[in-house]
Amino acid sequence: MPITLDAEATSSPASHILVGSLVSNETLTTSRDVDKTLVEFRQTLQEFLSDVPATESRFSSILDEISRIWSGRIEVIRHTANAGSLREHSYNWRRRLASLREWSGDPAEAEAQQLSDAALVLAERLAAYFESRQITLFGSDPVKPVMSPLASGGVHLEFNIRTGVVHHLEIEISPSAQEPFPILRTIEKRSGEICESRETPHASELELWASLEAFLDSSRRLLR
Amino acid sequence: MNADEHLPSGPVAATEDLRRLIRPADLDEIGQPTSAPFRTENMSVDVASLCSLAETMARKKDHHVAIVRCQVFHDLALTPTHDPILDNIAHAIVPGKLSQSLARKVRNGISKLILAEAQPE
Repeated sequence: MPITLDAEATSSPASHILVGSLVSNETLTTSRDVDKTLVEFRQTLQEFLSDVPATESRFSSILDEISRIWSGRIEVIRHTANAGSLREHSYNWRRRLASLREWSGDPAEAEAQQLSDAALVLAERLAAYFESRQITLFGSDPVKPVMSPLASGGVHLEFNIRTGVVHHLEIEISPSAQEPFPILRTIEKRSGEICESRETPHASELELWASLEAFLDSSRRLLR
Repeated sequence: MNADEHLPSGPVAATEDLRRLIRPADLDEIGQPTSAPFRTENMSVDVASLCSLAETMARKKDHHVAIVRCQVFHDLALTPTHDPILDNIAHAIVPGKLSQSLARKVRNGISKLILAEAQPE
């Protein structure tokens, strides 16, 4: 099965960026095929990294993630035989935000027809603040703000620090973008088992920003 | 004909698999579901023994499907209830709205994620 790896190093102020893409011209219909392909992808990536030893440590987390997806608890099955579906999942919060501005819900499923502008604006402010603080602290932004739509028309925002365990923060913004803000902070094993959980269902806006700052402080300790 | 008149309803057995449709924007930065789709009030799911995976996926072609064993809900004192509707006899709901911590536990209980065809972000 042909595997290609496109590697791109940029001189962005944040850090170098490695983009790995998985391309197959063959039909993949079973999880075994996907597993086999991920093994080959990992090998290809390791070969690439062996040629750039000075930067290898930067990308060890990528290898960890590939291994985790490959052997992870959640079995991921690509439903389609379309080779294009095996593109590496690539997340960018600004692109997600743009798609959420165009999002349309299904009223038959009791979903709001669109997401609230006020909620999207607050989500953007929180994500941009988090990103800028990370760049100040680390010179890069290793933790990506993740935005998802809520059926109510609000926005779900979450952050994950993935080390040996997962430090997770999630915030819900109602359509009015007003208090109270439900906040959940957990520490989870890779298996999904929750070791610690602290839920604040009625946080004020001050507590919201404080929780974000506390999470940044955790990331500074954990990702040092 | 009203489906409710002819089809059984009641608690779903713990041994059943439940299928939850996941929107493309519900995936996190590494391609796994967030808790957001499990925070919907009276969350809809399909009972796996009552319809095929293809039927579930055909309901929303751009959506992914997360599979959670009903036992996961029972362990959290939640009772998925069979609620057949005219165009979906496999339909069930999880009554009420899950707290954030319960929704996270259900999300972490996903055993399989079946991805739809790749969609633009």
